[in-house]
Amino acid sequence: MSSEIRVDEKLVQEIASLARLDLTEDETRVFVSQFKDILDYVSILNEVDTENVSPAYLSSSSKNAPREDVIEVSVPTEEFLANAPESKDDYVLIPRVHIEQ
Amino acid sequence: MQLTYEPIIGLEVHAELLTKSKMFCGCEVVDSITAKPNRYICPVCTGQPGALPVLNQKAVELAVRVGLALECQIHVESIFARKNYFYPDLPKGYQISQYDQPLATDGKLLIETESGIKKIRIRRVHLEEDTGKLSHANAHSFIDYNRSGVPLLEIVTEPDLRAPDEAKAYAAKLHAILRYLDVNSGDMEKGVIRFEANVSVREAGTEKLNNRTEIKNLNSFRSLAQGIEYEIARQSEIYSRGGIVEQETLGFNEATGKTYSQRGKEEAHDYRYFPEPDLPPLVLDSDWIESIRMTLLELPDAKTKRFISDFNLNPSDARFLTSELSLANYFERVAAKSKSSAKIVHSWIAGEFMRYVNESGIDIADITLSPESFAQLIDMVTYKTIGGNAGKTVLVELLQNGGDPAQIVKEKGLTQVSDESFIQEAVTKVLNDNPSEVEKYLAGKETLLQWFVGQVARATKGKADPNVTRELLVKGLVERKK
Amino acid sequence: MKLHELTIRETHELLSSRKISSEELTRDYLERIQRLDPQVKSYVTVSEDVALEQAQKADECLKSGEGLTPLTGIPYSAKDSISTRGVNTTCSSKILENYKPFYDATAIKKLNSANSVLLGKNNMDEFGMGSSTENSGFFTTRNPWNFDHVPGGSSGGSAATVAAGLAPFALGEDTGGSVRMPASFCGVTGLKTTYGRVSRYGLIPLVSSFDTIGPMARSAYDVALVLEAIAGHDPKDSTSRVESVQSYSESLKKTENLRGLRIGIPKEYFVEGLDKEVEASVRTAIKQIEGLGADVVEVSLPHTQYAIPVYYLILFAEASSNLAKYDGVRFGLSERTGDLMDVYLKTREAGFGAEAKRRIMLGTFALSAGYYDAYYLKAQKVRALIRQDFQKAFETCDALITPVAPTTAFRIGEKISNPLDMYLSDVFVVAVNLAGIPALSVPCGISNGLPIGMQIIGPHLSEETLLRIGYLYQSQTDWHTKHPPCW
Repeated sequence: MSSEIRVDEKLVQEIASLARLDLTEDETRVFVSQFKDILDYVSILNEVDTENVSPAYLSSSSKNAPREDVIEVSVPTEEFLANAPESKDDYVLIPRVHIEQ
Repeated sequence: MQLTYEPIIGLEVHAELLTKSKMFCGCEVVDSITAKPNRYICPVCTGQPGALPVLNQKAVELAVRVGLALECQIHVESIFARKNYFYPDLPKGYQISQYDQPLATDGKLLIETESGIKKIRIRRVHLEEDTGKLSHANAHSFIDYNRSGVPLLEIVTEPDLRAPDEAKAYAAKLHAILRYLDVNSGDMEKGVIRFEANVSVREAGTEKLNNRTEIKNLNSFRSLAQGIEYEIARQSEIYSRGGIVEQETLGFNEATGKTYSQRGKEEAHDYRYFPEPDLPPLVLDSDWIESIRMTLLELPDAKTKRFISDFNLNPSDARFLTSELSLANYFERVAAKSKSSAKIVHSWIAGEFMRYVNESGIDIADITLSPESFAQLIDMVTYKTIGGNAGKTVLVELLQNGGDPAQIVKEKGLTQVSDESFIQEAVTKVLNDNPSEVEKYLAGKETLLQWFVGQVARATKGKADPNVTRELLVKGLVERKK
Repeated sequence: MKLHELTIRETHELLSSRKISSEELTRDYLERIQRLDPQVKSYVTVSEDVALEQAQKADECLKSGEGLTPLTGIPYSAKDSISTRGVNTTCSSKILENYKPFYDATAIKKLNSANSVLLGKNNMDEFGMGSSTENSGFFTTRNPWNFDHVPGGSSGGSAATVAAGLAPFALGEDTGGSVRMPASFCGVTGLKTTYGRVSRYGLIPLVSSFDTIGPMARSAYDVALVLEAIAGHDPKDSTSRVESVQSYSESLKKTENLRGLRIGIPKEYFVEGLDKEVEASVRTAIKQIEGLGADVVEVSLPHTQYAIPVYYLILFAEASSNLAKYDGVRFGLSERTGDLMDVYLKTREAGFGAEAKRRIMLGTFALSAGYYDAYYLKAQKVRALIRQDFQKAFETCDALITPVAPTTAFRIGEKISNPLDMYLSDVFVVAVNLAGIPALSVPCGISNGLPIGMQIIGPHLSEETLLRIGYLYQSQTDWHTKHPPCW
């Protein structure tokens, strides 16, 4: 797997941006080398023939047990907002989302 | 040479499902425009750490209903997936949706176009959850999570649409079906149905696949057609200059009717979908699917056909009546009680009745006037107990204040009179009082006859039978010529 | 005998006969925590007020005798990834440093209704990402047996708490050995439950498809008492098991021997790299279990060597998604300078430790377009093969016995600079999570003053069998009654 992938600072930075992580230059450098090690290590899975194997996503054999469409009591607004970094008039407040027009 | 460009359009429709509680928790689904912010929330729909989703059975049922109505293949096993992206109205950092194994695929919807009936293929119908709502003021954005987790149905077409009007026709048809199936309130102004259009253009006659743009936040049929129209023109202009259209996500500004770039909102659409580990696969019982099929109502197309054949209505009248289930039902009930022809009943409903409905903004389902009374009123006019204008007056009275039509006619003294001596008296008076109009009429301005009829109606407070009136007027005028 | 030296079973007798009150017991533990925990550092939060309030309520219940359970009035602690209403729940992450949930995890709710007493929340590797608690955003917990060594992880605080007598039991959480490994390193008994046996509702996820809450205590019997209190189907957790919960402790009282039970010894777990003394202790324990009447056979789990890469790939992917909600918008740390993008970037930069960032990065990569099939999908396919290995083994065996870790507790700082080396210490524990099956970690020796643990693995919902083996083994041995010097 890892053989085809070029792990470099550009890739690490692209991933960091997708993950909303603001990496320092030092962190980026360290990640490049650790990425290589780890991807190299997991490439051992290439040895395993999985041609006719279906993936096992779940840990239990259960199937979905939906609930009835019944209204339950909601949580008081102030309990929810108690954890909010900023709130006003019962809204959660954040710096303005940038909108291009 | 001026090249012409052919648009290729696909639509994604997001429709809120009419459940009592949210998709993955028991919080009540409310009108997110009028409800106080952050009242209908819990650990699940605000993305508290450790909270888990539990699927709402009713949402599945409603989705299956739509899938069946669109003649889709319903998959007995479908899976939920996480769509990962950052946005402040998305509390978990991912949206629970369906990705490579949706609930339903491969359906179709027929629309009417200028060149006839056209089949629009439905690629997929899947379940997902709505986001919270953002509003903006000055330096801040405000988040309300009441809408977060409301069940949404996403209905995606193949790129089969070729004009803004086709897109509009498809959207309107789908809107009617969703209302028919009682899965969506249809209140477009409340944002319960939202459109996204994928648009590309190519030189007419070619099979080229060019870059497409995705126009978001199209919240009315008008915006939908306008946005697509603008985008077709914009793209055509770019190609005619030799440019290349960039593949991107666009917003639509209702005020200007223009699309605008939303660059930077999400980079590269890399949503990193993977199966949602908190929800086992959704496995449906095929008997259960069949039982839902049995409860499906007659859909607009079938109803239109029946109205044409059973009521002898012309296609456009039938289509008008079947455009909304409550309207179609009301019409059928009135027609069943009335001795007049369905055409007459249609003209009453399409005319004075709809005028009242539109002006008052009332929901047809909330009309209290019984079909029996309406039918009785229509028949009084048809069989000339009262005149047409009097009938309209009575209808408005009935719609506003209720009551018995015969009683109202009697109280208001509206009974039509065809007694010649009574009408003759009025005719003579009108002709005597308006010598100059008589002169003009006799000089050849025959259109004045209708004016004289009106004058007689006024003088008799609408009681005079207009046919008798006309006869006596003509007779009187001819006599004066002599 | 001092109060903290008693097992749950013994403490319950004193409480129900009203020789002591829950408040006295609770104050005794709170005093010990105040005295000893500054050295052990097993608690992130001590919830003294809540504890005393709950103890008083428990005393009323003990007085009236109404709704009495074996856990009424018994203090406990919980890993800090388990949500406790009104009590800080941080996952040992700076990003949740002041986060107070407004709801209780189902497991906590169940203990509340049993009138147990929450002493506080235990330190862990940040969001469960680690095998030593060195990745805690706050501090490293020490191994009560030797303060220079790690307690294991990620439920290291819970294991150290129980080992040092700072709570009679703790709720741990096992994603890839996080209960068993620290239990082994600290010499306590810990159960990784069948996936779905205990509700995950309110458990802050690391890997949603691996995470399991499990009890850590001083004996298999005490573990059984806690398990029967917290297990069961939860309509709020779609992945929870619907099967009814057995009365584990009752069936332990009736068990006399292991006749008719077949124990498999997977040869892939006794290989190079396994510490000689660890191997010797586990082999001795196997002999003793054979002596209790069990048949012992060798079995093979051929895909064992792939368990770690499969485990980590799936972990990276799910963790990157599970950690996306920590964005500084609704709760937790929020760096409010600049625009919204700055809030995201600066909050996550300041709030997450190096290991969390590394795993978020690797997971984002493994799921991103173009790499999904090669990494995530491939891992899920190999996972299916690892599960098949266990299924095959359980066609002939009732349980498997292996070491928990290749060595005893390593030194603080020994592996922290090399993440891959740290990942490899999970070699014997992660396959169990891939299969979703239960496993019990039982103390079975001491080497150089540090405990050794064996792992007893069974098929889905075989908790009763595992506890029976552990219980009978502990009735013949005294490793689980040994105490660290700080005791």
